[in-house]
Amino acid sequence: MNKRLEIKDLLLSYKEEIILNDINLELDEGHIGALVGPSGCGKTSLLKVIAGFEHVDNGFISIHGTQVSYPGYTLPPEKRHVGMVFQDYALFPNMSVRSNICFGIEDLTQEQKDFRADQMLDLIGLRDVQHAYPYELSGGEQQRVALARAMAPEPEILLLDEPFSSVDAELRESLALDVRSILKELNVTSILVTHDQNEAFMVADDIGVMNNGYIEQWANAYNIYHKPETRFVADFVGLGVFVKGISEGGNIKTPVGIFKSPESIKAGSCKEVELLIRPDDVIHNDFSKLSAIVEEKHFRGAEFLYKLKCHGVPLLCYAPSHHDHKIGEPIGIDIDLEHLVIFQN
Amino acid sequence: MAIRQTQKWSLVSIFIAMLFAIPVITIFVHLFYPQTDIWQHLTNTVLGTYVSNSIILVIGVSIGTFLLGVPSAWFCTMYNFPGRKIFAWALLLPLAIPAYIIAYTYSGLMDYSGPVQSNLRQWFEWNVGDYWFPSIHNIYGAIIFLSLVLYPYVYLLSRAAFLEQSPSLIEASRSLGANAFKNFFRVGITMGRPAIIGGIALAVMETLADYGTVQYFGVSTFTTGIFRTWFGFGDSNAAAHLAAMLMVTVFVFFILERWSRKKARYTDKARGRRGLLREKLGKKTSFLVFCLCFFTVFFGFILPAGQLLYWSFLTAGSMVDKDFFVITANTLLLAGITSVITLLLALIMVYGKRLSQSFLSEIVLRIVSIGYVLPGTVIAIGILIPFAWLDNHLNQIMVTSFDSNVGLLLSGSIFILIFSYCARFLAVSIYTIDASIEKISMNIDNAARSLGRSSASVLMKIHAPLMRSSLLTALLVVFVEVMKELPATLILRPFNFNTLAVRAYELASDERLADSSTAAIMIVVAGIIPVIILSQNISKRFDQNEQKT
Repeated sequence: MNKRLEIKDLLLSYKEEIILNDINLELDEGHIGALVGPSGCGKTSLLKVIAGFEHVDNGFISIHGTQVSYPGYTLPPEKRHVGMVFQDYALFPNMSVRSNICFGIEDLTQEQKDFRADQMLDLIGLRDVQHAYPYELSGGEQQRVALARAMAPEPEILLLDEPFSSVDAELRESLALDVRSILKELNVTSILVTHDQNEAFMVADDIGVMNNGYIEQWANAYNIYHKPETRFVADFVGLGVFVKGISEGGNIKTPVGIFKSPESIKAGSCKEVELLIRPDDVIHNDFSKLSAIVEEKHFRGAEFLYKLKCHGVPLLCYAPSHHDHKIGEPIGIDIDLEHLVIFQN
Repeated sequence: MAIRQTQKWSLVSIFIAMLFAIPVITIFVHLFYPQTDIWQHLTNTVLGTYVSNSIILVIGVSIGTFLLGVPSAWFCTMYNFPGRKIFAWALLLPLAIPAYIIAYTYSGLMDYSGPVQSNLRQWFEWNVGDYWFPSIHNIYGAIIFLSLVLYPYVYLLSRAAFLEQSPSLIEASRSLGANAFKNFFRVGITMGRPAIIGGIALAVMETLADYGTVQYFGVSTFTTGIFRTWFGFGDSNAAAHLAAMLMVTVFVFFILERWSRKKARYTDKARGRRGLLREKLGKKTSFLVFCLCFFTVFFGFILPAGQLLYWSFLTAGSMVDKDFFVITANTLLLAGITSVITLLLALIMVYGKRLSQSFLSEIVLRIVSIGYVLPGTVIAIGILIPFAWLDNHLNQIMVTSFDSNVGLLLSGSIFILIFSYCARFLAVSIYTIDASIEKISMNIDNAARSLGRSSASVLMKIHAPLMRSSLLTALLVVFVEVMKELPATLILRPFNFNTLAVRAYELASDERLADSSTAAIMIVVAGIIPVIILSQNISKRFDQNEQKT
């Protein structure tokens, strides 16, 4: 059994308000999970429950096969071996970088401590500033110290709460990739909480999309994007539009074309459905018979994001930025739906 | 496990709170006790005087502290004039002098043989009976001297309110053509109203709690009445009844102060404000404002402190003897023990509240904080009654079962003194530490816990070092408050046990004013410490404000 983390039917409430409901997830050893969702959806609460700062009302959490939380029992955070990186880093301002990193490995011998601290400092590339105090460091450096501090005791699971939110936008991407490579190098099982789906895509192996205290879907990045299971997931992750259509005799008729119904829909006859069309499903093709009017366009560097209108239906389309069309101009498009994503009304 | 650990902290907090709620509960319960003959006698004779004197004192001190505190705060915050930076902190200095000490000093200055009358006689070659000289030994004298040392509360709070308001208001008023004085009445008083009321409420609470001044000036109020009933009639029931009435009155002002605090918070909407460019006052106005500030500081601190210093030079030779060292050592010991105990208790309670984050722990803190509101006399009576009862029963048990007479084990020792100081000043430590710990992100705690540390270890390794300066402040402020405390000490001190405050009081009561100055000057010098801390905090905020400009 190599399930590092298992959460089953978890319920968390606070004064009759349900914060987390029916949470189920599993994480394999060395995997990185991400929780995304709008603010207030319960993702940080879920981290706190896993860390042991909150008590569960139903279900259980088990780490490495040992139950650490169930109703009436909460193994305290200091005994869980769960590391946590906080949104504001929460570095101890009265201690140097090195002391911060050593804070969680007090029980080791001096030799072991030195070895571990050096190893961590090298890993985050901050050996030069090991005697500096947190306030002397940049946001990115503080972030890495927080990561090293949390990883020094070799936690069973590492939790990261919005770890990149206080970092400048231009640094965020490189830092996210750094963090992923560090986590992967040490094979740390971890969960990242973020409101930014791109961060989740960059760092995580598995992603959970949360809404109203509930995980709507737990899957890998590809499936979250291309095979969303609920309308909320489809809407929250990535761009896209929902096109109304009628499912009839194995086909789905929409104003922008007829598409073949997937197996699951075929049973019934004549139903109103909604079809998800993402910008990358709409391919700009000057020779296509289907044409759409350009309503808005947004320059994105390498490409344009066009907002189109086709037979009264709004569509989004990415096109290489040398295809510079004017607003109001008709352009040819193909709709290439590799994965049909349909929601029944 | 985590639940149990939090519960441990909460249980200890609740225990401490209940312990120090004893005086309040005792006094409160006495409100409903059947009345005695002496109480009947009191209501027929002196109670009316107590009430009317208290009302006059409260009104007088309210006006006095308003006049001394608000305009000076307004001009020091909003305008530039010569000496402003010095006055900004010097106006706090009178806070260092307990009201009873300033009363003794001015009595010495202004009585028949004092320097004022002697000089007048010399200059004008007057003789006894040739001239009329106002007596200060009455309620008006008490009002003046209480106002002179209590106005800094009003000054402090209204100053903070003025600093926090948006400068646009005053600029708008200026652009509409209002001059400095018009601005003060139109904008200053209006926008600072909650803070001004809060400051006056604090000054009034101190006034109602005062014993030394009114006693010396022969003004009968509730505090002197409690003493008279307790020691004169020996009627603890009637004394407690008086104390209960005083307690209820003080609560009214306490609630007023709380309300004004809330109000002040809501009206403070100037977020992300810029600093104010202080307008320079014109020559005439500058001079007037300078005089106002200067004479306030002069009469509130420089003159009385100077006089005390002069007297103590004259009398130190005869006054500083073995007894004096014993008294000083007693005082420092009491202050030291109390400040350490209150610090530890406050740390436990504040940290317990932080860990449990519960409504109950918040309530527990509130209960303990009530002690600071209560006058020393009320606390003393509220403690002495249950402790004496306990002592009697303890002694009886010891006599019957062990045949040993232990006497008054608790109420006859300094234990009861320290207990009463803790009941009164625990709130000071709690406020200071709570404000400081609230500034530490909860994630710091969580981080340390997730790194395998227990809650106690987090307190020692993280919080204590981070709050070092606040812990020191709490320690010092309680230390000084204990040094200054008079009425509770008078009631509760063991036989033949003296503190500096009691010594100054006793000598002054014997009209040995110059002799009392050595003890008094030591209290004043100690009293300057918290004033320095306060003014440093103010200048820190002032600097931050300046940087924004």
